[in-house]
Amino acid sequence: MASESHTNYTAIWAVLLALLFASVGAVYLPFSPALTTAFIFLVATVKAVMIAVYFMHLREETQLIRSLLWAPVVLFIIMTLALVPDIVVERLSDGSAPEVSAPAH
Amino acid sequence: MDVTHVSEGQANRETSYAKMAIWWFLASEVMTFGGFLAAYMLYRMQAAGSWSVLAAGLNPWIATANTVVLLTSSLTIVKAHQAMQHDDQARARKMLGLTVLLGVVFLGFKAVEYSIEISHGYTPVTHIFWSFYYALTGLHGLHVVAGIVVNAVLFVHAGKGKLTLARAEAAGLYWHFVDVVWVFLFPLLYLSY
Repeated sequence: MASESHTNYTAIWAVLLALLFASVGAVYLPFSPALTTAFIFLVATVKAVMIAVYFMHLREETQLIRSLLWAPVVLFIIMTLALVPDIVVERLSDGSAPEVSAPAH
Repeated sequence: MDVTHVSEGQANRETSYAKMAIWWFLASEVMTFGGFLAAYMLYRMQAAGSWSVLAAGLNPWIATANTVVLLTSSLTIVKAHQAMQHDDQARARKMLGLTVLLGVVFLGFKAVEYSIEISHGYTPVTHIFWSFYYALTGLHGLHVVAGIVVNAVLFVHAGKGKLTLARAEAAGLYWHFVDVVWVFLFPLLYLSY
């Protein structure tokens, strides 16, 4: 960061904690698994962006440094999405998920 | 020759080099964790929800407490950086000390969690879910250990009045990245269906 930030870091931390408890609490609400999963990953993404923008001062950084972060993030997303069809095709052709069970204890 | 200007110029260059270096490193770290996370997510998608039974063996409350600990450590290290912007070595030292302490608390909680899971028979060879769990949290834990070592060294430097803004910033960026990784690991492992 080139200059001093006037961000209220304690307030950002409080919001991050509130978001954490919201995502934990969402698991116990009577919503569908798909909706709950979407919500908790949306919250995780918001938390990560807040940490990057406010704590890592990404908002005040140069385009070069922002590019350094975005390039691998985009590559990661492409890599993951490129492999999804393989998984979907395998599931469609197989028709069943592998069975698993918890060990006895 | 204006010695003050030379000194400020050197300090700015040091900040710039350190920042660029740490961002390059973090970019490579995104791909390191990204490969692991992508493999885990795809395997879990393939399992079509059947891993929920296995994930129920995890303790989300210890993990929630650990998330609070890591988020709080991000606050303390950014406050250390803020203190260094005023060249307040004493406050930076205090905040770095708290960050180290919180890092150790995180590892302590994680050790308790591992011991509970292993005592219940969940080991890395029990199932591929547990292999992923121990690999992902273990790799993250190693990063926490590295961060603790770096922050402890800077804590000593601050005690001698030799901590620089560039080092405080680089250490902070690394520690925040470790926090960001956990922000995604937590729901992926503990909260997903």
